[in-house]
Amino acid sequence: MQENHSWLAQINPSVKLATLVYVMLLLISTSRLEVTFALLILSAVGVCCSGWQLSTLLIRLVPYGVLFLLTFWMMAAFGKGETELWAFGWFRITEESLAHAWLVATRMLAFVLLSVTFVATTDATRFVMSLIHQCRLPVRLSYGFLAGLRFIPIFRQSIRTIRQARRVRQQRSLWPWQTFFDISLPLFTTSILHSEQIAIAMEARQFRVNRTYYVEPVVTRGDLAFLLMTVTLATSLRLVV
Amino acid sequence: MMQCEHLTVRYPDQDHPVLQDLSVTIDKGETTLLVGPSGSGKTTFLHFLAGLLPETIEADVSGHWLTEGTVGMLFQQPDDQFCMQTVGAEMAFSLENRSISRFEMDERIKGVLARVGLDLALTTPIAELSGGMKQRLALACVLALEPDILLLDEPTAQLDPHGQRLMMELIEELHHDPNVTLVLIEHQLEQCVTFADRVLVFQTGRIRLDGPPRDIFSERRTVLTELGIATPRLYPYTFETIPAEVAAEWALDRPPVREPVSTEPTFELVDVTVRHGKQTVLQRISLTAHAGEWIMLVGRNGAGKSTLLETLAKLLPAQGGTIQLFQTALKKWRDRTFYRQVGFVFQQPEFQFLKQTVLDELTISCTSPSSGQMDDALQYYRLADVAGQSPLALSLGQKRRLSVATMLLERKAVLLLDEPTFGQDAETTAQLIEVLRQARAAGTTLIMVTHDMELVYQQADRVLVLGSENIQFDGSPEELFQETKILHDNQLIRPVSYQYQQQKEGIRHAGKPLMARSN
Repeated sequence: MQENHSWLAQINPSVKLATLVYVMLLLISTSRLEVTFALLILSAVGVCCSGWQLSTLLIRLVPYGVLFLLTFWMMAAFGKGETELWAFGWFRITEESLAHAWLVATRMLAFVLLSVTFVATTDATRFVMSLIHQCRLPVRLSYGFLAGLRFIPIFRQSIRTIRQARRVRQQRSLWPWQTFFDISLPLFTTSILHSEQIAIAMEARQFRVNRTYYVEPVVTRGDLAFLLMTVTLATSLRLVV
Repeated sequence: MMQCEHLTVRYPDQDHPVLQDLSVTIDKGETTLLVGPSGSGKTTFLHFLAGLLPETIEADVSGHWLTEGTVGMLFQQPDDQFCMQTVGAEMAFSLENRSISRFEMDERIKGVLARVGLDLALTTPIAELSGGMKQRLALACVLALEPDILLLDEPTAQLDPHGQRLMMELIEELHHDPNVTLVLIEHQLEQCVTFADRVLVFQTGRIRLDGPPRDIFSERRTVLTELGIATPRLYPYTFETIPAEVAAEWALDRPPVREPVSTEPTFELVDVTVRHGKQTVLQRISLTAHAGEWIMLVGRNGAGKSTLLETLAKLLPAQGGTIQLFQTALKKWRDRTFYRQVGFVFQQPEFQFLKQTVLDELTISCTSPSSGQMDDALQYYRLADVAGQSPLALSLGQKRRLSVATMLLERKAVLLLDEPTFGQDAETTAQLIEVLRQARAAGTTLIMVTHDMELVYQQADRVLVLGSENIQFDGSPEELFQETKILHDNQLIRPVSYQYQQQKEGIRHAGKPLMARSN
């Protein structure tokens, strides 16, 4: 999660999240392809406003494109239906399954685009601060979450070392779950120790619930305008198309 | 001021108290140094002073105590003290806890950062800082609390020598602030004994000795060595005042004797380029290692020392040039036969263990293990008591011994080691060096990354300085210590024993025309 200089990054994270979740709910509530498609286009506009360069955006979206095709193929070729269009071996594409496939695949893609929009334009710290101020998230929980975020790069480094050690010591597991345990056990034990240390360090720095805030996100008129505009647009798309 | 009487602390899962009937008073503005073997209760005492017992850390505490003033504590591990992503947010966390208005924060943050000598943008991610910078940031965060009493738990143990020096300078500055009471645990005694007002020596939860450093480290020195506590190499003397017989007793006057090394090559590198991610760290380097040679790699952080080791261990591909082991290109070696010849000791031992018990860990390190051999190994590496335990439950020193044992049970042609003595106490380091010396005598090439220049001087047959994408120096330690510019450019310092011997030599030559010394 990173902040950039796009217009969407300026929006209050909680407001942004609420808006995007509303669009997602609309997506679930419809089974008409036209509406789903219209909302997909809205989501695509959102992603384009996320401040990423088009090339970066395309590269990052490739895996989801593959997922889209796979979902589409699965739903189309294995779905139920009466009117057969094409059959080969196990695959049987019918009119109903094809329609269903379009619906599910576009819905999924719209979900992905909305999530990417959020992740691309939101700074984790500001998001959590906004959750504290706008959504009354308990302080202990949210600071714990922020401390936990710091573990991700440390985990990545540790997993790399464990893999290297397994190679040097020529250990191969017979079963995949053995590999999982071999890697996760040292990770878990070390991270329990680390988290205990961090908790002690936070207490030692007089961490308390009554506090001031360095970053204090507020809901501005711009945020409300964004909320109203998007909600109106999405609702009218849902109702009119 | 802090005072405690008959203080006894016991952790819930232990039979014996960590601190027993401790009575001590620490005055305002005093700088107190705590020393003692590991497990003697120093850290627990510090945690107690920080007010972390018994609420944050569960323990039974009895006795009377009194603390006047606010307390701040700096911990050993730089990474385990942060909860935010950026420098500014982390500093602000301290101020937020004190309910300082957010409009005052930026100014205060900048002030404290300047005090610890960090010139950083507030949006700099903490993950991008070096260990030394992280620790200075952690100190800044504690100073932002404006504590009357500052507790430091081995603040330099996890830093490289350059980071250690800067940290020590900061601590000395704080010592001169009459309003700050300092209590610190530190193994790098050389510098802090010169400014500490008082030393408390801990032994199994009690205070064994209490007095000014001059008394403790000269008259009572034998007690410290008996307890296995590292002593400063010179203090209370200086190079000028140390009597020759004392220097002899402390093994300062003996230059190391280096055995000739065989000419049989093991690793041969020609024009090798090494990359870390997208960045080239070493450009077209050439190097030949010989059987039974102890090569040490030194240099700044990020100079490519660890990356070079990983490349030699076939864990990273070289980007150009050829690497050969026994005249066969690395690419042609099959993994199974290659790793029978080459071992790797990682910096963090816990990540190289693969089995659930110490014994299993040793067993899989042999091709044909026999129970007699296992018993011998357990005895030799002093792991017999913990043979049935999980490797992850061992102490730091035991983990390190086990990680070396798994690599040396079968004779290797080459052993690569990434800072094996880092953060280890004096005793474990000495044992480790002994094991490695024996491996070298048996003809194993040792290639080791280290920051410990005393170790380089005493043990290395050859030292390589890596820096600016190149090998800046390749030769014996004595030759390196004459190259003032190379030492300075790479933030290296001459070890105390070498400096002492140079000093003696200088005096012996006094009166004769003498060429300019690099000292």
